[in-house]
Amino acid sequence: MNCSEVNDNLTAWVLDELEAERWAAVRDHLAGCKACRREERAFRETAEQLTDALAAEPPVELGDKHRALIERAADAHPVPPRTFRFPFWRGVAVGAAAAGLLLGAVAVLLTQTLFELRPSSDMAAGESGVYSTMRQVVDAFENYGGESPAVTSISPPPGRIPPAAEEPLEMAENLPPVHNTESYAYIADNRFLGALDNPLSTFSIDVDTASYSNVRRFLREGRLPPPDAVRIEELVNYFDFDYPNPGEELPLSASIEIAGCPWNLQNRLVRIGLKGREVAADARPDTNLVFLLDVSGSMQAANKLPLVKESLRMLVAELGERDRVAIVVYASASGQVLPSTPGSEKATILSAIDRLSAGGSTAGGAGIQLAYKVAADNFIRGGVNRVILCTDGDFNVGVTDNGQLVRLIQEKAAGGVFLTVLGYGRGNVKDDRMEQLADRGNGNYAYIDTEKEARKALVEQLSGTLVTVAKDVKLQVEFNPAQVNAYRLLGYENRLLADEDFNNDAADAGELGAGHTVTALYEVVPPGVPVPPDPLVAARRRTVELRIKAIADVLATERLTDADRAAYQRDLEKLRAEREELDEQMPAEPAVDPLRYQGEPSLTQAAQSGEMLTVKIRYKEPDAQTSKLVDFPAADGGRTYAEASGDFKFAASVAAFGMVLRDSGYKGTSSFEMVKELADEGKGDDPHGYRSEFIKLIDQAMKAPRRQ
Amino acid sequence: MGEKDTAARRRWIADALAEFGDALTRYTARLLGDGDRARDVVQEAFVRLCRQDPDNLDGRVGPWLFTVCRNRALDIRRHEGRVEIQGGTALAAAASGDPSPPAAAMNAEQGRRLLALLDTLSERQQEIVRLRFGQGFSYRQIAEVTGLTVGNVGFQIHTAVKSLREKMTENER
Repeated sequence: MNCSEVNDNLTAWVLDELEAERWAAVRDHLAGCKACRREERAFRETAEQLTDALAAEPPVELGDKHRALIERAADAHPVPPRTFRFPFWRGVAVGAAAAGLLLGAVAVLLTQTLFELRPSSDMAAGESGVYSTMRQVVDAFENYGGESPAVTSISPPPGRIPPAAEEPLEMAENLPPVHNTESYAYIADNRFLGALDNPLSTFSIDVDTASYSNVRRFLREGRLPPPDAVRIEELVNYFDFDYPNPGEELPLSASIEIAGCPWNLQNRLVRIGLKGREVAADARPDTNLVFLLDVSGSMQAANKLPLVKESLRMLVAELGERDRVAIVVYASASGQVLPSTPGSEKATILSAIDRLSAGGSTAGGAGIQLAYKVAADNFIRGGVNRVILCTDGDFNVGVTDNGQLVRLIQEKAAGGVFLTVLGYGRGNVKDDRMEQLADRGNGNYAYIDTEKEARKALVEQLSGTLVTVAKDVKLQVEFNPAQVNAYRLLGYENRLLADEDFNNDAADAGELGAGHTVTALYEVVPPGVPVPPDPLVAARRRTVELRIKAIADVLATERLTDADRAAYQRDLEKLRAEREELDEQMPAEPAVDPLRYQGEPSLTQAAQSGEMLTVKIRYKEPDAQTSKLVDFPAADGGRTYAEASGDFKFAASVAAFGMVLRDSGYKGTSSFEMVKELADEGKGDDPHGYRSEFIKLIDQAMKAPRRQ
Repeated sequence: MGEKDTAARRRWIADALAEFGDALTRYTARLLGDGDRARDVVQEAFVRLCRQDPDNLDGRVGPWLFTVCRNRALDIRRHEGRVEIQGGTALAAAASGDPSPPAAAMNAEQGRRLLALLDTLSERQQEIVRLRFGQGFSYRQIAEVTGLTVGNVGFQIHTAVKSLREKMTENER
């Protein structure tokens, strides 16, 4: 190890986090290098200062009341947890004895509500009164078989039993998954938005399909994927749909189909399909490809470097003399292992591929610099210039700044060298990071776990992977409030754009490859049909309501000190304010009678046209700086789900599968069984077998053990 | 369910509470910028811990609790559309600590500066640094809580420590 490498490892050295081999290398170097020893002391000092400084930070204490209640909860959950499915509520509900019902309510209040039932301040004075109230509740809960006077003292009157007894503890269950080091960005489902207040929905297209391969990997291993690994748009976009080819003048076509929504019978489902112009293999422009291969030690596994090499061999077989290929590797040091070579010299390229082997640690930054330099040196004007990064994404050592890397990629994309990222491996997939890099590089990201997947990305869809027919493709859908009460975009959560960015050519968006299809689905609530509430808001609303009731009961029935009473009153006011706020976020009931003196405000004449929506698409030609706009209005022909096309059904099935896997609050009546039924109906010819494979995955998902 | 199980479970929870209760509250309060709500989140996490099988969590109770609190806090933040957390309140409170003897005063001054510099790092780095140096978690445990790879945790900590050290030296000049 040289000084710089040792420096990179000094923090881990000081914290004793180095594995044996590296630890020994650092030790040996330190023994002979005074400068590094000085550095090491400085690192140690900073580490100690940090530990001291953080220890001296003022504590934020949990507090005795929360502690006491937690300890009580421990007593209240003595059942072995594997089988513990709220037996209290079940037993109570079945028993249906009056006392049991009361206790059911008490039990719910206890775990969900009264834990939070505490005056927010001024606890010092008269605290005992409040505390004893909670003690009574807790005691009542514990002795629920007996005739405890505490039960009657705080029980709600009959008829006010909170419905929560039926759906206990509806907290977002974000239990940590089985330990692994994969990282996924948090995804919150898009919400329903009212068409009157939010008539525009704007997002960037996404042709990435990595989430599908990744989900498939989990299911094949017999377990359900973590919810945030499931990106609905990437599942849907994994599949090609039979959208019409665009005409001569446009690089893309758009087709819109509207039919009943299978998981919510009152609602409509809108499918928007884009297709990029097809480019025949012999019409493909000249290509200048630079493979940037991660050959660090972590790539040794059979499904990493060996699969990368296999992928390259497949691709090379497709290339001709107008194509050029170079290979740059990076590990502890980076270097060019194949200078830019014509695609016709297959033997030269293949032997360079064969010589590749894994070893060393990753320094992605330097490798990327070199790859871009090679691409620039061999730049083909009017051709395809692309760096293809093959990695498991575990860049660690040597990249000084992730932001810097992203800026570099962005800058190179602006100069005409795009980036494709192919993710390999399992158990260590840095999904969010790889996708981010590809997005910024005007490129695409595919996850390759099998030779079949490599063939799909690099052979069957070679033109699409390499040739961009339209870049910065943005969609803006305008909904007609006369036809649409509310709408919800399925997936694309991390592709949403501000409405104003649609017309802003500086705002970056996704690329459409030759022959690629992109699909987006909207669930639409027709006028007069209530909008399903936001599950998070609804859950919080229920909790707040329970707390308000509980406090009101305490206030009505307990003898309280003035201080306690005032504290409870303040809490009550706060909660009522929160309830009001939440109510504003809840969809309004459509129960209001039409006004006699006031019509619908401010709708244009087009609103009466019967059109449901207009899809506007902005895109740039691959070498252009300014965008073009096309729009496609669509009306709802009132088709039922059964009358929808096979492709429509299949796309709906894939989206519903995603919602079930994510356990989305919007999944409606979706279940694996329903997903399978829809997929069977929509399977069609399935020339490549991708859809049959999907149907097999549904079976695997059914067999996988449920998440906790 | 025997009495023995109940007692064992009670002890298990009590131990976790003693070890992590305050630390979790501080950590969650950082994420939420609100001590009261942090307490509710922590309590919720412990209530959920009560439903877990101790055998499943053998040796990972700490990371498990931190993960649950973190996810819940991020849920809340996400739900409120809040991206940035409020910082600096803990810092202000630190400044009004007990008067210290002169030798310690030097260290306290240094510590305050270091904490102020820590506030300038990215939120992710702050979080990781706090988990490592405040909580004493290993890289692997931090990886488990944050969902990052162990390698990335090491990289982030190294970058953070290095930049803190450089800024401390700059300030001294």
